[in-house]
Amino acid sequence: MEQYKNGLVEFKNVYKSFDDKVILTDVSFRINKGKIIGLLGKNGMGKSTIIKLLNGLLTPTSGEILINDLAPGVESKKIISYLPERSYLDKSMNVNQILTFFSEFYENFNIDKARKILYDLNLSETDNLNKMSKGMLEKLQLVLVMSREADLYVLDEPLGGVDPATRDYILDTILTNFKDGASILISTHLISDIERILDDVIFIDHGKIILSKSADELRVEYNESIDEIFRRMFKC
Amino acid sequence: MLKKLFKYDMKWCLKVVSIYIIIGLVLAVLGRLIDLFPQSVFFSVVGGICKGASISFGITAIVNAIIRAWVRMITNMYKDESYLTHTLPIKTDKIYLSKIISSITLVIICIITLLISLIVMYLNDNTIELIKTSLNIISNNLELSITGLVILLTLLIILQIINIILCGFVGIIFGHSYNNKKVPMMLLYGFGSYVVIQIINVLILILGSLFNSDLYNILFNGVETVEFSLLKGITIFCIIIYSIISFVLYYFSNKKLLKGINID
Amino acid sequence: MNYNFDSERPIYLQIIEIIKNDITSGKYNLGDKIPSVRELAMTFKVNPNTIVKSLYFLELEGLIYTDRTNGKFITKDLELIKKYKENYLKQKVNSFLKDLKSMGYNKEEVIEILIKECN
Repeated sequence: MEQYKNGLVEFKNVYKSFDDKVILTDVSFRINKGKIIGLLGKNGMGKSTIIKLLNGLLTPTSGEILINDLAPGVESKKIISYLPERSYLDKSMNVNQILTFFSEFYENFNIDKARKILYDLNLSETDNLNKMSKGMLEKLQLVLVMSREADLYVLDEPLGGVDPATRDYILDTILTNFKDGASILISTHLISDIERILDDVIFIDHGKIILSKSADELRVEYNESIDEIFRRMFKC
Repeated sequence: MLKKLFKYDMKWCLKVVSIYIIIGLVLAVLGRLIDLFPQSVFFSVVGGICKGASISFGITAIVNAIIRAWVRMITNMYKDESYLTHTLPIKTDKIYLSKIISSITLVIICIITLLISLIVMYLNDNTIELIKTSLNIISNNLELSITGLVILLTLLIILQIINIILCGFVGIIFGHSYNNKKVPMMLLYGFGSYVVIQIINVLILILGSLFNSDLYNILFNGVETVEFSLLKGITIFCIIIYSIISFVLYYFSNKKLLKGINID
Repeated sequence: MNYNFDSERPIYLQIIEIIKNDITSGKYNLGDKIPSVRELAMTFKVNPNTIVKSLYFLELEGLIYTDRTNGKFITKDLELIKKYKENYLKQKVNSFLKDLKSMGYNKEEVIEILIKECN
């Protein structure tokens, strides 16, 4: 099989602490092009911190973060499409205004694709965000993020708190809409729902990387599902 | 990119402020129209209320503009929306600059509207006569026309308000750089910088009085009459000082912002 | 169609089995064009990379081939398919017989029931 020479993302010995509270210790890993990677760990173990560092929302206490060999900045933000766990849209706008906003600031935003998906979801463009249900808002955010032709999609808990039907819909949307050759980083604690689409997995616990391997390698090694391996490793 | 950011910042701030501006203007026009009716107690009372309310709304608009600017800064840069703002492919200093320019623009719009309201309500033949006679006195003493004086004073007020807004921004930026106790630190830096500015102003005036005997007399010897030329001098001087202070506030807050943000 | 994969085994292996079954059962005929990687990924609801892996190994075994400009196709080699079907049947029967033998059944009993059940 092909070996990817150039890492898209590289974390080198990253430490992050807030005052005297240590969140990440010596985190190093690599994300290659065209891979779907699961960042797996229990809540509060450092997943969101890693993602925020990747997006430039936090600065590392020490260590290096490289995206296409550059530190997080304007260039990396152009090629990263980020879906945070929270709602980050200006709720005073309506759907059409949000679409316009995204297309104005992101060159690689495919507004036609977004419109089509929203139409299929029965979301009218004049719908105001503050009148939409939480589930609809989450779907809207997902559509906005996946409608960008990015090189890296970063999804923080995309399946959290939704019903199984919506979960299927979200997985479908992710798989069918990402740009060819792009990578996806999915951070979650709900492993069984997502493991079938993962190429590689990274386990994180108490701010440290426990392992970083291909999903199939792990399955063959332990003869268990990733979910089972994880539960066994992190029994309280 | 800056233009687009400015558009969205203005839109958000105008959402509330525009109501005050419009009502203020409408009341001013109404107040003036009422003057055209035959004078009676009823009409003069209603007219008075309209005019008073117009000024009140005008001032509230300005206060609202300041507060809206601060709230926009906090919600857009540090609350949930910040996850979108800071992942836009734009440098942080452009985002900040847009906030500053939009808040200044909004304040200027509010003040101009207030001036227009005043003109609409009070400009008539009598006042024009008053202005013409004052013009003679003042332009003789000041080498400055009435419009010139109005412009200078308006500029002074605008700069004071800009300073207040910037002190708030300084408070917000420095306060949020702490991991705990963000709100107390915000208030500390915000009020603190304002207090420091006022102290600096006073110190400069005292310093200036060492060089200008008239100023010294006013400050320390209880002389009550002020020469027009001194007034003009102080006004221009204050405008320069406030402008410098604005740039200093902007410079340090921008530098702090560029060091890196830490979003909760 | 909802494919429920066994998460304890690599999924690409399971997809290989499914496609092989489709070939032996006649769902895919000789020379048929296979859907694109994207389409297969959507059908199975898996990562396109997994499909790529499955197709790679299927191609190694000669069950599919790539025509650079037109895509991937089921082999036209009837002999190869026949041989594969034969091997598969042999494998299944041997494992079936082994199980029954370990439970104490003898050959005659098995053949008698087989003929009865097949009619």
